[in-house]
Amino acid sequence: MNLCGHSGIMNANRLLLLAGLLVGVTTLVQAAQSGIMRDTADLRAAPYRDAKLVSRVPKQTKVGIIRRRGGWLKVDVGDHGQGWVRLNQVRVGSSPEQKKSSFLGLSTLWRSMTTGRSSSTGLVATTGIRGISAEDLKGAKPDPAALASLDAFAISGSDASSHAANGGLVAQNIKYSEHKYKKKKKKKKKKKKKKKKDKSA
Amino acid sequence: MTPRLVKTITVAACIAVGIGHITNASAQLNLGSLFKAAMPVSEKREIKIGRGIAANLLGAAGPVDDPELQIYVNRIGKWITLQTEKPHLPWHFAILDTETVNAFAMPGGYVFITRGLLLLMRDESELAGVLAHEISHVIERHALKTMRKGEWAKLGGQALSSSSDQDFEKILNVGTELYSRGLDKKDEFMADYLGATLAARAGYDPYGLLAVLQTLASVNPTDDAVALMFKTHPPPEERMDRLTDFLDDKLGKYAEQAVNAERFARIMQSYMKRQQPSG
Repeated sequence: MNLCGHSGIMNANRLLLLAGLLVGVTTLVQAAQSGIMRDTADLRAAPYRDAKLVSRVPKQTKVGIIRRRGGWLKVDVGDHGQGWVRLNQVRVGSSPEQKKSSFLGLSTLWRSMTTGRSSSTGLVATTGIRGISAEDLKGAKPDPAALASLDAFAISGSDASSHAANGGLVAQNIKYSEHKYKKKKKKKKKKKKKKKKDKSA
Repeated sequence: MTPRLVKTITVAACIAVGIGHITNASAQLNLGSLFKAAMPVSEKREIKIGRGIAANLLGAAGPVDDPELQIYVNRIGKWITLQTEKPHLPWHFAILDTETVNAFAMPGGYVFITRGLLLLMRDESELAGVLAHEISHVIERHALKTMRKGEWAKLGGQALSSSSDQDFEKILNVGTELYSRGLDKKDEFMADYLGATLAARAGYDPYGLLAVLQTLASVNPTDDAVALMFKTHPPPEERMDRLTDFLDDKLGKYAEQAVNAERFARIMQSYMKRQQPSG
């Protein structure tokens, strides 16, 4: 690997990248995430609503994200100790609101990796140039060859099932309940609105 | 006033001024088109439309050139579709090679997730949540529904069930444009609820989708990479709040199901290693 002519920052990025790949992405991603409290929130001893209250964490407090369990995050709040807060009470990242980045987790690692590549070869990185903006969609020419190439990755039901079993996944019999949920919401609205005729098409 | 009455009056009026023959014919034509617009789209046609739109999207960003990654995503996607009422559709899943953060569902079973979005994920339950959200759009035919509603009906609704090649071209143009305008916001919330339910059926922690929304609520909305996604979806904070209520209410007991962080990390790690410069 030729590192001549690189800035110190680039070297650091490359080293971070290599270290990341050696240590394992899991460790790197999960250990590296920090967050900021979106609102003042209760820090609880366990991931349950009625669990013991550890502390009250003020809005904008920086936290270290330890892990997620369902809709809860275990966080490290320094002086406040460790505990659980609701997932939607925490924003991922450590930069202030106005300087939020779109690069979080593995995305950061990828960025330093591809930046490293373009710099080390003296070429512009070829990945990530084509985007999907509204403009891009407007000008897009169909690519039937790319479409056909996807057939090679189509998976049989039995392959998918054994991959699921290997991952410890067990299918559950759960009824859709969003319709009930919708009705519940509609009932509230009905009080305000007149009943409309049934559209049973 | 019923269409039939309108027609009768029109015809009567036309005869009165003596140009009945011509105008009557055109009135019938219009009624014919209206009838077509209300006709159901066959599954065969739905699939054909979806393939056409998918080819257009691939023209904007191609698939990531990494069979192992693509097969991984297809295995998870296919497994989720086995929990739906439409496992027979020709399901295809792909990671698109772009930093843009977004995901797309085409009629008939093509589902795309961008590399930018994949790299924001932390475990397999998050990936499953996003795939299941997109699968729900396909199952519920949300794109077709939007295409025949409101202003879209004028552009593409009538052509949806037509068999001419010219009309098909029109559908693809309108259909592709739909992906830069977005679906009905209500359908996005619906796909969140259905998607979380499907992920739970597939044995995943259904809060994975919520975790992705939390990440999306954390990125800078002015960034080019997320511009289209933010334009075409309700604000992630609002989706998060609603989905939190739904999950706590309906699926809370499945929160302990699999997240498969290790398998996800292993796949991502080997993918990123392969992408690394060799020398």
